Amino acid sequence: MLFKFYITAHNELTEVLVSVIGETFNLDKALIPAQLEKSLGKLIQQLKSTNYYLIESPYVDRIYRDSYYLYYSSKYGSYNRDCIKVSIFDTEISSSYFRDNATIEKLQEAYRGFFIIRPTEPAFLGRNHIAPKAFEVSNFGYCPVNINSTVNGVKLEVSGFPHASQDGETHSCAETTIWAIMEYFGTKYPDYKPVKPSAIHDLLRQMAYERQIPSNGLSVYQISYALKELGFGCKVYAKSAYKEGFEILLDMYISSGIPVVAGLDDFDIEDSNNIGHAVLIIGKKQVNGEFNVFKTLKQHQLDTLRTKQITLFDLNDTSVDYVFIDDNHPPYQLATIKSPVNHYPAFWKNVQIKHLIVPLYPKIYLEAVEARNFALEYLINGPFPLESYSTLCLNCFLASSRTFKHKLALSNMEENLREIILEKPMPKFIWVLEMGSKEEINSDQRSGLLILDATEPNIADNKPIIVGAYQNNVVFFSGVNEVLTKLSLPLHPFKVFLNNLTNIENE
Amino acid sequence: MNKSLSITASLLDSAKKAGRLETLNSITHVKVITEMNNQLEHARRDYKIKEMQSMESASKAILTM
Repeated sequence: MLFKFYITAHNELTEVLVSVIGETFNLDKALIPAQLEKSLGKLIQQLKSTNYYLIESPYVDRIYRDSYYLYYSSKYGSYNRDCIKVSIFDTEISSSYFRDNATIEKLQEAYRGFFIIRPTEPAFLGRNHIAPKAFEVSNFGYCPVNINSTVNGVKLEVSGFPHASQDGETHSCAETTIWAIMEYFGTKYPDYKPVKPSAIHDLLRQMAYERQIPSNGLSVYQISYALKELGFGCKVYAKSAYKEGFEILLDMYISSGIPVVAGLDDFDIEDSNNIGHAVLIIGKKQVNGEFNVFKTLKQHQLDTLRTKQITLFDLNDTSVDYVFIDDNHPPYQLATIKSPVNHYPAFWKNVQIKHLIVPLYPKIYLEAVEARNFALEYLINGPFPLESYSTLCLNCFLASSRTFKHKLALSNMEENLREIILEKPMPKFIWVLEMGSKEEINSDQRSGLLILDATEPNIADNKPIIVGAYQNNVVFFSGVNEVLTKLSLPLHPFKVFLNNLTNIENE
Repeated sequence: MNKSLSITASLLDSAKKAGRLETLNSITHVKVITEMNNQLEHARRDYKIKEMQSMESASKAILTM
């Protein structure tokens, strides 16, 4: 088959695709527009109308090839082995740009990623890696990963989050979610590696009691099992168990820059439509002047706060929009946690997030619930508690100590305090609890910090504390006997970390 | 031998001399820490129940759509 490529503007994309799909996949061109509208209509509609596209055919896609040899090739009907690749640029391009050193840099600047069209009609949309800037979206923070891709023979790089639609046969929403998580972590960190659909089926074979293909989806338990086998120390949280603390946990992990698998369903509703769906939540919009008082405190903590007239606001309790990677929709859908399916048809209206699966680094032994319980108990009733009449906003998230120290080293924190913290040996991951007044929060500043050892699940005797800096004092373990020690040191508001998410405007 | 450029040790020395360093291990502190440990034990028991409920619930929810 001859290699062909086309360049088109946004307004002609659908027309060109109908023609290329018909030729490459040998399909009846009369049927393609309706199928294309169903699988790619929303994606094309949400992409910027000023984009330009380079369409290449045939294209060998490693994910579809894996599904092809696992399943499609064993069918009686004939399926094409090849795909079509559509690369996205945010300015007009010409084929000559790809053969001229002077214009390659321009191409890289304009490159916004790609999507694969596979011959699995009507579920045409395959693997894609598209920068948020390719879409008409407002600003948000998310967890990006850079990947290299070849366009018309030229290697280009794009930052985004991996996404694919389910083909409904070799992979449902659940397998697609596992694939996207592994694609993200495997590309970004050497501890993990990307997986293909067949590898996911192999992993789950020993716990499957029925055939795995065509896929009937996976339970939350199976998704967690697969991710554990792929190298994570997974934690599962059910809304029915954690109730109002559930959404706060989600925010803590999202602020930590960890993509979280969310299990959505309407199973517990009387007139249930029996919908169960898996999505990824990968980021959120910036908190905007929203201050909710702590809802999840214990009675003895509330009593102390009342007696000392302390008011605490919970920055992890927020109603902002979160960023969803959903295989039924184009990437980067925005929705609140309470209305996660507002972009779905009416019969989905009762679907809510009921489970979270958090793929943690395996040596993070102190998870979010216990880290938060400890930090709050320490600040409210510990040996150096918050002063009376304080009004503070608290924000808690997980960070890598390397990234945290890097940002701290370049921050405007008071020099002595900064050096004390930088000179503290730390484990690979730490919990960071930031404190600040409403005014400081609104100007992206903080006036206090509590840093906890994320590898220490023994929370007795203040063991998780690495360093605390608040109320003009620094607290840490010191001396031969490692005694908790308080050093008086004047503290000024500082700008440190905020969270672990990358703002799309800064990309 | 070269002199260490670390500033924590010298800062602690000068703070000790100036009386700005306090160890949090007095009888009052130990009492507070013991009570804190008890409260955290209660919270942990509550958390363990939630963990079990989550595992039970996770095995029942099948995600297909």
